[in-house]
Amino acid sequence: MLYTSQNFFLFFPIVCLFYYIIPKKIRWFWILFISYFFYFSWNQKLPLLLLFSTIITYIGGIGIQYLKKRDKKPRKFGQKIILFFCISINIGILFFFKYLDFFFLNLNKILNRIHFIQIENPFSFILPLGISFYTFKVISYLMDNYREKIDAEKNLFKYAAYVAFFPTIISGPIDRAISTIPQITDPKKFGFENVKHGLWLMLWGYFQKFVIADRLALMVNEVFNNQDLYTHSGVIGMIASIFYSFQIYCDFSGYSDIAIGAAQVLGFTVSDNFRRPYFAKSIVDFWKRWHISLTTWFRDYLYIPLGGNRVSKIRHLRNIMIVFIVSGLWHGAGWNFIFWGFLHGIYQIIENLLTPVFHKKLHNIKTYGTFGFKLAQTLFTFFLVNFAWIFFRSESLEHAFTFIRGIFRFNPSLLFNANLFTFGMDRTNFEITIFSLIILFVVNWLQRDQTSLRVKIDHQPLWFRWVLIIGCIFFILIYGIYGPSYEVNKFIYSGF
Amino acid sequence: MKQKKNLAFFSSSVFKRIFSIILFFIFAVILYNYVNKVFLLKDRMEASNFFVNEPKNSINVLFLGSSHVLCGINPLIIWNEQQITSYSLATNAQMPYASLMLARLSQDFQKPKLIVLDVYMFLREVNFDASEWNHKALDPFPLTLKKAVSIIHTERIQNKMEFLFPLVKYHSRLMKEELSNQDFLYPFINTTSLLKEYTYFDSIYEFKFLQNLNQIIEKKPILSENEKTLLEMIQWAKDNHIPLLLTAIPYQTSLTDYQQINYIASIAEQNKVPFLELNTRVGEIGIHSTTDFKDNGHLNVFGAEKISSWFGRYLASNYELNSSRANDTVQNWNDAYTYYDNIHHLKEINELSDFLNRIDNPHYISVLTGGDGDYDLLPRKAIEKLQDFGFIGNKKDHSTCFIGIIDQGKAVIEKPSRIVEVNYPFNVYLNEYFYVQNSTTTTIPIQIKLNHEIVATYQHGLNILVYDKEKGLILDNVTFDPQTGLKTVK
Repeated sequence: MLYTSQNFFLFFPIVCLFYYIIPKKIRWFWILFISYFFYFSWNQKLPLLLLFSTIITYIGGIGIQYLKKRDKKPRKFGQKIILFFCISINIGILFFFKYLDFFFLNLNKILNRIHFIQIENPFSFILPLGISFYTFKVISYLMDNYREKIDAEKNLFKYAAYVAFFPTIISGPIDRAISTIPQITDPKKFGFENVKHGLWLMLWGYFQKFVIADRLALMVNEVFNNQDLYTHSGVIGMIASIFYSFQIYCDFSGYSDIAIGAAQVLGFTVSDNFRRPYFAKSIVDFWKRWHISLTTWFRDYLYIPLGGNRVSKIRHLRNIMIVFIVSGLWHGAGWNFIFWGFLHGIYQIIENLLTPVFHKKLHNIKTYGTFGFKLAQTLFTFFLVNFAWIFFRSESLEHAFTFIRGIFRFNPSLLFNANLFTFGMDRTNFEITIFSLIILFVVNWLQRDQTSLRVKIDHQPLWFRWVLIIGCIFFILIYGIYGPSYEVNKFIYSGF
Repeated sequence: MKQKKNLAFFSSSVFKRIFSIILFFIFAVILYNYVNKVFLLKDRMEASNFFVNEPKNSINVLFLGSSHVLCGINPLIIWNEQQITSYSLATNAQMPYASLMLARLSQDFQKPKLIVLDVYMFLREVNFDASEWNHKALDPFPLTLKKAVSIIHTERIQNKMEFLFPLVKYHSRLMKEELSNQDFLYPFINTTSLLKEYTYFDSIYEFKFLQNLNQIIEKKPILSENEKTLLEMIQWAKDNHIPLLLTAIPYQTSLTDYQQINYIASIAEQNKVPFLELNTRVGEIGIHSTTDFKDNGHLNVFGAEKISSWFGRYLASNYELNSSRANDTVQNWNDAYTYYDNIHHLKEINELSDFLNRIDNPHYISVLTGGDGDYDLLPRKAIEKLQDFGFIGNKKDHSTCFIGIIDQGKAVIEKPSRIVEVNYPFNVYLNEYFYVQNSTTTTIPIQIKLNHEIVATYQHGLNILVYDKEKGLILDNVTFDPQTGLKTVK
């Protein structure tokens, strides 16, 4: 069951209704039950894997806790063994399900080079939904426990409810035990504001997904999936790549808003995942705004353990590169993903090296800090991010390079004739796309002062709020890309 | 003190909040209802769009089933001969579960004294679920709790959301640029079906019936799912005290089909439900496979008249269905019959006065054109009828032609002078119009266009083109030539 499936629209109101009807003491059990039901509805066998990860890390957590409290001096060695064991098992499972094919593919390439017999992958499984996300969740739990930020959760079922928490299990945000488990244990009362704001956020999420992301996919899929037809795509390739930048943003931000909104309706506070990323003025700034829960995860559990920036310059830059390559690999088992991570690593390193130089030089420029200057920074950052997305979207590294070569075909006339509307998106859809992107821009712009837009809307007169909500609902219903007339587009990040 | 507390609740923020939420939902539901109706498919007469607009409790007999019923049962014949009001709530390829749902949903609009169910689709194993026919059958019914429960309980309906909220299915019509002004007006227009959903075909197809049907006694079970639905239908009718009559409208049946019909007959017998198998009664009814079918599955207008007439007699003699009705109901049904009769028989009329009487119909637009002097050669009776419509007559002002348009039984345009062209927009919302270009010389004919398209050209004589606004069809296009004693040229 995905957030866009019809069953979810029946499932979610029932979940909420019962959640607030039943006594507070047993609400965590309801969360556990419906979270497993939610996961079970997608596949009947794989919840066992989730359960296995949960039990292993639960026992690991208890073990670490036990060792912490047994002696006055914590036995770090024993804890490390447990931590290593539990993380290895979970990473092993992730590797087994997500990267084994990729491993054998590359192994065979090497074997082929040295004229050895190729080995077939004896295991081939479907990728369990949300495995990358819940694996990171359980690792963060163990690490926080090990670092004594939290105590181990003694109640297995409450812990299982945290791991399987249905709003975030498919694609995050990767919520931390430190904030979520207390909310499961001690649920909030029914709050009208929470429910209202949660529903608004869900509505905005659906708008981003159905109206923008899936409409952009019409052209993006046409161009990227038919590489043979678009080897000399030129301006069409450029538009498709820009559209993809917005598609992936609206798709994932839409998903995150639905997830955070759904959690908020139930009274949970889940951390933000996006903060207007395309308004970023540098790559470092971009990564503070994009997929925040993953970025902070890597910061806390990979970058800092590697030494962070409190090491020599070379090691610091190495740490950045490791984090981004691992991040690329986390997104998908393919060289294009690794290269995407590598590219962002390079961006970061260059920025890191050049920033002090530029700061000295640029401060002396008259136009420094003006609107035009900031706009140039934003557009340049967008250009770099957009370029990297081509590798992310392409089926392979080779495909990506072919696509990039195709972009250099000079055919700007296509922009000014009706041929533009023959690449998967007709004129009407194109116009709606542009209109929707303007709405997206306006909404993002209104969020520039970090205040919740929902709070701002709250201060508007009733008629305005009604028109806004009803307008949004009907805009989605009428202009949304859903239903039997369209191909269903899953959330992009649900594939990771 | 207690009263004050009660009043305080009404002025409290909680009450205001609840009140505003309720108001919001009411507003949203009304808006959704409108938008949903706009997006529904309305292009086919087989849809049950018009049933919901029939006057409440005005239908005595409800026919359910597939296209066999649509083409085979003419409620207007039954009305004309037996004064029994009936309605063909049939839709193409109506799946058994859809028949059951329609029977249930129809109860909110009509309280029929009898439900007649054609069993043809109970023999079929074809999966029509994904087709649009069932949507056309069920979507026009408003979303009520009863409808929602029926949809949720019906296993065969997989895309429940699409049936609960048809907008999910049809919202793409806007992007496909399929919506017309008619779609936007539809929610405000409570149109009823003039033919009570009977579907008219006058083409003829010849085939041979399967011989000796009476000798086939073997039974072949129908699909268990269909059998279950049939038993459910029988039980539902019993529970609601609505007599149910099963029937099989004649068609070119196969051996397997007939064995399955025998099986259904046995189910009917076990459950004490009457079953009228008409394939074995074609001789008694007077149905011929050489004249009464439009193809091997569907009756044409000639066959439908025979079946309907027979059915009417059967209903009159076996059920108490006649009841006193308001005068306007009787008048409406009589008008509907006249309308049908014209569709069927207008082309057979060769006498001008008769023809003019027939086109005196609120649903028609008639475009009259005539050559110079033709008007004056018309017989007195015809001229009087034309004057009844409101035509003044040719003033003999050296005109070469005569152009007149009758809409809703009244002359709306009369151009006897040297008018080169006439434009008559009869539906501004849908941008529908007639355009008549006059003949300026004897070599250039008079042309009539209907929305850009040339639909008739004439050289001389009194020409009448009859257009049915309801069906959007040209019913007849005839020339009465005064030079040859007003002989008709069709």
